[in-house]
Amino acid sequence: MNIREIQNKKQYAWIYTLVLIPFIYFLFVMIVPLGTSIYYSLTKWKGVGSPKFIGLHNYITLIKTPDFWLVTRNTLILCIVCTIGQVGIALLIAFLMTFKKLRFKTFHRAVIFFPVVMAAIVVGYVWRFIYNSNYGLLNTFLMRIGKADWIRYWLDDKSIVLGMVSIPVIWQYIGLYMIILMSAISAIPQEVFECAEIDGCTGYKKSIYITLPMIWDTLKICIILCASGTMKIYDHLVALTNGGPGRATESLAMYCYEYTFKFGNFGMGAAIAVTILIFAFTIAGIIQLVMGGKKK
Amino acid sequence: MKKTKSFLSSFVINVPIMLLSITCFFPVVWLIYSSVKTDAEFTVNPSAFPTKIHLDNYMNAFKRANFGTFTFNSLLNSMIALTLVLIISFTLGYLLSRYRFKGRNLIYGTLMASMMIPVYALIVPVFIQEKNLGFLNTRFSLIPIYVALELPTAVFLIDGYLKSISIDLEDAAAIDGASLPRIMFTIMMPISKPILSTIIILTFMHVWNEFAFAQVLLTDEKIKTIPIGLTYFTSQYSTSYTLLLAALAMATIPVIIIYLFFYNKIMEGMMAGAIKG
Repeated sequence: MNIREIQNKKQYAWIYTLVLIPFIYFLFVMIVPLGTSIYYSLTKWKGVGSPKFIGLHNYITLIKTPDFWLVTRNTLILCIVCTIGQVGIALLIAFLMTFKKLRFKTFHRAVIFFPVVMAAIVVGYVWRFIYNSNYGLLNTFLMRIGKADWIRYWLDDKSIVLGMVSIPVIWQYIGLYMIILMSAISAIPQEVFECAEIDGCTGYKKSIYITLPMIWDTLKICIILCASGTMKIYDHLVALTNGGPGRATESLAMYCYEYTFKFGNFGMGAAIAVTILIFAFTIAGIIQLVMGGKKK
Repeated sequence: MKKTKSFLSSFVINVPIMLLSITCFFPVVWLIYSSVKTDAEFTVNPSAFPTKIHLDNYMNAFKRANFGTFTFNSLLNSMIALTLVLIISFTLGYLLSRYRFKGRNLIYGTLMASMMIPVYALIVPVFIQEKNLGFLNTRFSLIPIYVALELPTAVFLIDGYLKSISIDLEDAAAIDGASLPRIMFTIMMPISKPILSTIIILTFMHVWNEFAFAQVLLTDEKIKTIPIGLTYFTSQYSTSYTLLLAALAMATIPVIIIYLFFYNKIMEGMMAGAIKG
């Protein structure tokens, strides 16, 4: 480990000053608001006057609201579909990238990562054009190949809309997890693969029995990042459907925004935000439990 | 027989990935060439190439929706946030990586755990905090929160990078009598260039694209940023599809340019042992 020793009192003073100033600032901007949020969630407050403490009342109201369960269901479905889609496809591509048969690797790597850097809101609008029932690229394409009967109102049909909105989200972030997984694969010592090849382990078997266990921890981090990231999905949905039709694609984050800034019910909004946080931590915990702590 | 089998397997591997790659850049290419069409041309055939380049959409976007102002605000926010993130995250990252002192693990742990906090748990309290401080709706309202949001990742990246760099140079400089801040900023900062450029790119992208806080904290037209500006084109000017496309293209072009310039650096930084579990 590259660690230096602290030589004298003067250095101690320097280190503490330089660490504590930014850290206190960080606490003030990130951790204090989090605490405040938890407090507001226990109060009745409409943004004016002073908050009135009402205990868990907001949470109880929330649990009794059917809409809350609807948006929770939407968010959880999106979370599961997007995590499997993003990390699953990324893992598959990262594996394929190790195959000699795959051509144009640099090109693929550059192009698949590109959507990651685009604004979520831009991605949402672009895909709205793709799905548009009159001018959309998808319907134009279906018409062209003579499958006019496949044409649908992609974003207005309640039965398919949730699946439709998850595609752009998956599409955008495949590249991110691909790069993370590829960097983990590239860190595996080459000898491991050579030994495996001598023992007759090739192709997909090499991926499953050698590569996968070696990158297990990174895979776990990817899944946690992805799941907790999708729990707070907002921008894509605002641009794509704005939650519609009805509440069919509304997420918890949008529900939170609605309560806080449209209805001005700050206490309730904070309760929803805290619920999102609890969900995110729970999911991270479950993943941690299922995939094991440290796997050799 | 063996040859056909090998051809088949290479077909199965190559074709799906090629298709995915095409879907990854085609929408952007389509966005850019469609944005120079006229509305009439676009409605006739949305996927065809334009017959003639029209820049009217861009002119309109600038004139009717203050896109110039939005771009300026986004640039200003990005630049200030970027500078602050670089200085603060390097200071924190360097000291947390190189020294062990009381409270070090607590500080590092807090930073890492806060990567999990959904921004939605923060928006309301930050809104109220800024309202009470009278800091709401100013040109700099967004910057403190952007800097704080970027810090954990940046510190994490710097810590990971410095772990792989030997301390010999710093020890030599210390023997020559260089003070701690001097070692940090004039010796180690230049050495950390690869990871700092990764941080530059990630921070720029995040700040440039950030939507949620910008939507809540700013209501003054003069200081709004690009992602907020984009929402106008679907409500106020919803009649013109190509105008919206031009606005989307304008929001994306700077990102494309930065991506093309720094692509190799992003990959290097990501691969440099940043995220290794």
